[in-house]
Amino acid sequence: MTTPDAHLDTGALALSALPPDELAPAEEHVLTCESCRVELAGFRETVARLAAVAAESPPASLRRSVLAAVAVTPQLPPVTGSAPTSEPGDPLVGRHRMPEEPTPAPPDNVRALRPWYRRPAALIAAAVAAVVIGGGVVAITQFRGQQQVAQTPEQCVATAADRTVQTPADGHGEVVYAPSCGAVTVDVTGLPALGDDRTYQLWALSDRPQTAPRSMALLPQAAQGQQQVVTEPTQSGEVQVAITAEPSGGSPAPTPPIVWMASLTP
Amino acid sequence: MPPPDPPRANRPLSAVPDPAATPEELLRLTALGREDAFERLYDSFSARVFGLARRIVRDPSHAEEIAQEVFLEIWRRASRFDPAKGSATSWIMTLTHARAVDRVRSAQAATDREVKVAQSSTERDVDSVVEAVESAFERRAVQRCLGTLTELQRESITLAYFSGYTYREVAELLTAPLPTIKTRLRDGLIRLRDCLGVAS
Repeated sequence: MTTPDAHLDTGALALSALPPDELAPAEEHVLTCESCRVELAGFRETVARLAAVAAESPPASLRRSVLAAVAVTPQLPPVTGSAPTSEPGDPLVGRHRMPEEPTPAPPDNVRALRPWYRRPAALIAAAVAAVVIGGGVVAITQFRGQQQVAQTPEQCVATAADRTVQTPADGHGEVVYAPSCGAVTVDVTGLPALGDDRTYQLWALSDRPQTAPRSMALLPQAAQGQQQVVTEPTQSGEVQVAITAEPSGGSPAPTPPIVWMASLTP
Repeated sequence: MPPPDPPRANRPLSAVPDPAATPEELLRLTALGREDAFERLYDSFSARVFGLARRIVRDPSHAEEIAQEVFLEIWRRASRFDPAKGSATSWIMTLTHARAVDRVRSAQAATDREVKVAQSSTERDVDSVVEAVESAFERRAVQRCLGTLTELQRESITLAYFSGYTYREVAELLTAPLPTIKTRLRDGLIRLRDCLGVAS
């Protein structure tokens, strides 16, 4: 007779404080216990609000690196078929849980973080949950895979431990440089739009005076006055990046004046 | 002559999301590929995501990595969020908590996680936190409600949540019987829930 204990598990369950061997029985119990399910849903919302007391502003560089990573990361399609998800156009259900919801409703992504063998069989048997889990497993596999396989330079720069963030003298945009990646991500914002026959060109400047500026990229979006983020490989001895306005198609060497310049490192 | 595809990148309706948009609405727009909505989501959750991760893993650079992973996953998985299953806040914070706990439980990071630090860290919140008035209110409300708990309820919940301990570890640390801790976690959450006005 484990039922009284099982009713008590909702608190530990909502706090992710059950050890692995107690997790599956507790989740199975919740599936068959309407009042536990309602209680667990309320607890999960309660627990989510606890984080407010730990709130702490992250370094500003995190915002840049998150947005840089997002700019090169594709999104997963929605789960289609019989999953009871709301359509994008539907009015939002709001922040309250629906008591009649047939699953214990941890976010599917979190459930999917657990190894498959720890998942209760009863949950997999529930058709609705199975759809959700299926999507989750695929997603996490892809997510983990993305971290394990060779990264793109963008991802490397966005997540490198040694990345540094510099702001150009004029305050527009940002330069994230990661020596371990041998690459730099340059985020250009706030440059004035150029005429149709002109473009901005990005240059790498070496600390060796005899080394000519090296063309890294053309910046057609920046030339239209828009934000543009590019990630380009760097070479040894390069210490600065600079932007000039050039004829469309670019130039072999920068045409003064330099309109924007930033150091790679502090 | 290119086919007349809908211009996804510069669709005319990509106005800035309504300033009063709920996190749920921002997630919905994020699922449509709207980076501006995602940025708004980042701005409203970054302090909580980073702060919770930092509280759990303690090392700021690890916390940054976790926050980066969490936000990237929010971006990737926005289409999978189902408002019928809980709030966006719950979705995001549960993911953050799971990631951070995953990290401490898998790494042998127990060395620098001292119970004392975890227990006495409430003070530190006051000066190291965010500017937004709204989150200050929320923080005060949660702190006030934590204050209505018994000491054992509060310690059990904060050790489980902010240190990522299992209830057995909590029982060990507080030298209390296992069923007692399980019960305190539950009745403590009931009190917190009612104090915060969370619909049950």
